[in-house]
Amino acid sequence: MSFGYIIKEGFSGLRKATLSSFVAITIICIALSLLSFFLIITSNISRVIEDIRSRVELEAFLDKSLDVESSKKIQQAIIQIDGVDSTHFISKAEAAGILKRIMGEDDIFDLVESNPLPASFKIRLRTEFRNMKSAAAVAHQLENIDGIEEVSYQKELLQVLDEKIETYHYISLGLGCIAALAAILLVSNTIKLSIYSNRDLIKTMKLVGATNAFIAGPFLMEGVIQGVLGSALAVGISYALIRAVQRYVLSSVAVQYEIFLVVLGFGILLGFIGSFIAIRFFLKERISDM
Amino acid sequence: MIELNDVYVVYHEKSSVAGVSLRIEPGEFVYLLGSSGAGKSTLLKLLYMDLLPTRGDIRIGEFESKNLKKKEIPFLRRQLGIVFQDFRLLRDRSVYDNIAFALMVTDTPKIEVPKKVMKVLAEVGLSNKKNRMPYELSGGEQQRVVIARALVNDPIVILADEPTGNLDPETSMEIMQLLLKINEKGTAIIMATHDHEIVKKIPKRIIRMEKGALASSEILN
Repeated sequence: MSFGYIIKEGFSGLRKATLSSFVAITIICIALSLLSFFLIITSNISRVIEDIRSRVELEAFLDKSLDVESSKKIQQAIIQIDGVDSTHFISKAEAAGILKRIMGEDDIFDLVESNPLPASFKIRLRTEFRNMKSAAAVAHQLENIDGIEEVSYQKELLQVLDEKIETYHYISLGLGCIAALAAILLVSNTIKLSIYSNRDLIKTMKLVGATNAFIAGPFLMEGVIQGVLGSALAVGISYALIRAVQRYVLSSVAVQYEIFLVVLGFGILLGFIGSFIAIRFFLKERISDM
Repeated sequence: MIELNDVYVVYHEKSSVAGVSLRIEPGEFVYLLGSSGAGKSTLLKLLYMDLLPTRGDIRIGEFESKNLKKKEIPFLRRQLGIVFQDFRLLRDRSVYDNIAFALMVTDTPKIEVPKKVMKVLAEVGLSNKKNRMPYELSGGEQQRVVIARALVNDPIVILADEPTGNLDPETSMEIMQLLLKINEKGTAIIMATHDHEIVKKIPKRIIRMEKGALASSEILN
């Protein structure tokens, strides 16, 4: 059995069963359009969450009596801590400047004799450390460094993010699995209908001694072609819709183009698995029951 | 050589075969005679291994049901020619393509296909109708195409399930003459029928079946 034969028969099957092929392609297209919206929404939510996480910083306040040399040593110690990405030194004067900007009053320190604010280090964590557990571990190590008086960070925000993200991940994974399973079942049933119209052909093949691989080859190819066409349509529709959303509703919505590759790949897989399940059903059936 | 040893199978409850033992020699012509539900078709299904025996063993040439792997069944069927009463031709292919299809799915080299197809078409007397579609043919002609398709892979035996069931008496006799001609060339024929007229006109070995069992085996000459 040549690959040319499989391709020829695959396309010929598609042409002959125009209506059922159209239905199969439409079902694949709908299933994959939903999947691609789901992936786009998920990736946008993840992007927003990552953006929030990237802004989370730890701030280590230094002993007011420390000189510049000691501060530099502390900075070296901080950089050595696992998970620390970068540090930024904020001197007493800069801290005062920041407070003035926030309060909007230039003469805020006139009430006291000198600047009471401590110098500090703002510490950014590496991506994989931007969670509650890692941040707490880093904070604990910071507190153990001599010269650091206090460490503060947005503990509550991280806690909320961690908890919500976990739930969100489970929900999106569950929804993704359900959508994929539903798509496979739907597509295999549609392809089963399409193959059903060819049962005379399968029956004859069985009667004259065709092997299962020979019988299945063209139908698997037909499924793959339907998968490619259905997913290509789904990609086109999703792209057009997202463009419309970006233009008229929410310009900040981003599209990772890899999602479209995933959808195309999944479409091919869907066509293949769907037709595999369907053809297996007919291969197992007795000639006399077909 | 075809041999059944104490074969049992239950199929759709009513159609079963119980304790059938028989032997058919190469080149024999055998009628399976019996009323509907006697187990004739079930016996044929056992022979082309659409059903496998629940007890006992079937031997067809080098194939034995008890040692047969599922993937070997297609190779067994390539040694059989199967003919049904409801022709089962592919309606969207010409006479030539219907026969060539049987060669193609059994991996026959492309170069040999035209020669083999034309040879069997000549045997069944349809050389001039090779480009016709099945719906353009009469019932007798369609059955001839089915027989040609069954013959094209040089089977050791033709299994025919009521091959004249849908045909008028005159056309039935033409088909019988064709089967006789094929048998004379050395291919065994096992034909299920309930048409006693045909059996009287063309007497051969008769295996009578009743309620799934062999009632008798006799040779009429």
